[in-house]
Amino acid sequence: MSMPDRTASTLEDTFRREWPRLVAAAAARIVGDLGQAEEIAQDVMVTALDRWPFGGIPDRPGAWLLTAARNRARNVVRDEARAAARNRLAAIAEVAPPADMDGGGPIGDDRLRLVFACCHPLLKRDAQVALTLRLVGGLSIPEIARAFLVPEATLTQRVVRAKRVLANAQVRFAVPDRQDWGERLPAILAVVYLIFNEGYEATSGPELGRPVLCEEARRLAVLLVEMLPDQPEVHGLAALVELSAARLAARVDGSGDMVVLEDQDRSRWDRQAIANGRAAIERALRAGAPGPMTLQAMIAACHAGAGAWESTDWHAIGALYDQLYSVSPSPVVGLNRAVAISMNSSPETALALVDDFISGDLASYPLAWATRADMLWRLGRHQDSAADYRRAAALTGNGTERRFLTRRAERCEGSTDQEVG
Amino acid sequence: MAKFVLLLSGDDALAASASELGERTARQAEWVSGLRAGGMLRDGGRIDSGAVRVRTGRGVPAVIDVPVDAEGAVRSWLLVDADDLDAAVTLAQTCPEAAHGAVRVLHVDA
Repeated sequence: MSMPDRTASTLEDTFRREWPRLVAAAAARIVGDLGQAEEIAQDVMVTALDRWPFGGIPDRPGAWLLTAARNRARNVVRDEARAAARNRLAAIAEVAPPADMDGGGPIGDDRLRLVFACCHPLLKRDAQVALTLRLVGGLSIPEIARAFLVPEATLTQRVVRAKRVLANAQVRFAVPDRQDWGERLPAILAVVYLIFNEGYEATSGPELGRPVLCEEARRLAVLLVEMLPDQPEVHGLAALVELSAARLAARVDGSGDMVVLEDQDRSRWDRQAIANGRAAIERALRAGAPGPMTLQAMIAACHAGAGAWESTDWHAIGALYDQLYSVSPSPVVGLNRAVAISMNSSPETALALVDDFISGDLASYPLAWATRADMLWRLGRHQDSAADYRRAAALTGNGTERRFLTRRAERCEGSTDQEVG
Repeated sequence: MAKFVLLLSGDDALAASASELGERTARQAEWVSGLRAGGMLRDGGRIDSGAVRVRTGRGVPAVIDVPVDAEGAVRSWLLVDADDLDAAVTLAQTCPEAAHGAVRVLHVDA
């Protein structure tokens, strides 16, 4: 029975891959209404579901779907124009010329316009994320709601509102001018990375992560690389996502408990993903100077290259964090840089840095307290360390993480303070 | 041997993800092929979601849009051979799409 299964997974893949093309092709024809474009894509796929079992699966299913979406969009525009004329309303003047630019180079790819629209600066980050997952990734509203532990109604509203914001602002369904990419591209990268991160380590819920989001982020990164092969940071993002995904299997043990990098069984790291990540870093460096994504990927590659925690090259990692902090001076980057400093030379300096971040922006960031606790443990201040693990445990919304932090706190409490030379 | 019309209905496909729809399409196609190969399927196809009700009996001809009922719009139909109603129901239960909606089984003369 392997044949039918293969058909099922092949069609699953085809539908998923074609989805953003369908939405984008419809959106290119229907001015300023991503919602209608989404409906058309959905309708076309449901039509396939109801028709293909009887009429047969087309030889080129993707082409069938795309043609059907284009035709339907054309009909919608035509019907609306007729209705408008009938009602003596202002005729729809701004009907876009049929933009059959597929295959005309990456910039002509309708899907790229779709990605830029979903990550438009008028939208808040959570709306960008939801819209990207729905319109580019083809995930369903219930799937996205489940992944972010948000009620379906909330998510529906978020997506509807986002589409309305874009429609009201009459956002052009277009790839922005190159001069604006400096601002627009990082937003896209941030959205994909946020999706990955939420999948890697969910902010809430009993499970450590959400595999569906990691998978989707990997797919989105591959799509971006396909469309924007000349952008170094796009390769950097792909590299970062691959190298982080390589560790997914090793992050949880047999009983579902979290395993930190230091304790991971490195033989369980995905060698293929590491190789993919390394190759992507090389492409990023060939395409230009390393930006924040590429630098983070290079840090991940350092970890991937160490056969054991003890042989981690903290000097290289420290230097990369210095570089990263100079191009992207966020508190979270600063926190990680402090970890590298503590591993390299000066735990006291590092602790002071962490204290600064905690008294600043990271007061309620669980990882900041966990990092501080790690440092105190290494300094032999086990009782202080326990208190900070407890604080981190109280702050995290992730059940698996909380269990881990609580166990750490208990370990500290069961151990007396000691002088570390 | 008797004949039955199966009517598949349900709206949940309108909220399904792209990959889910692809997977469901493949499973449903596989099921229909199985019926065809087994000589049980006479005919079948998709039903367009837009439907109207036509009435001429009360003097005034009326054409009304049919409201979608509780089970959702009817999406496809099949004419199948089965020994009896029980056999037809058993067959309907093997329909993958039945898990996402409902299948009405109608005994017909044809």
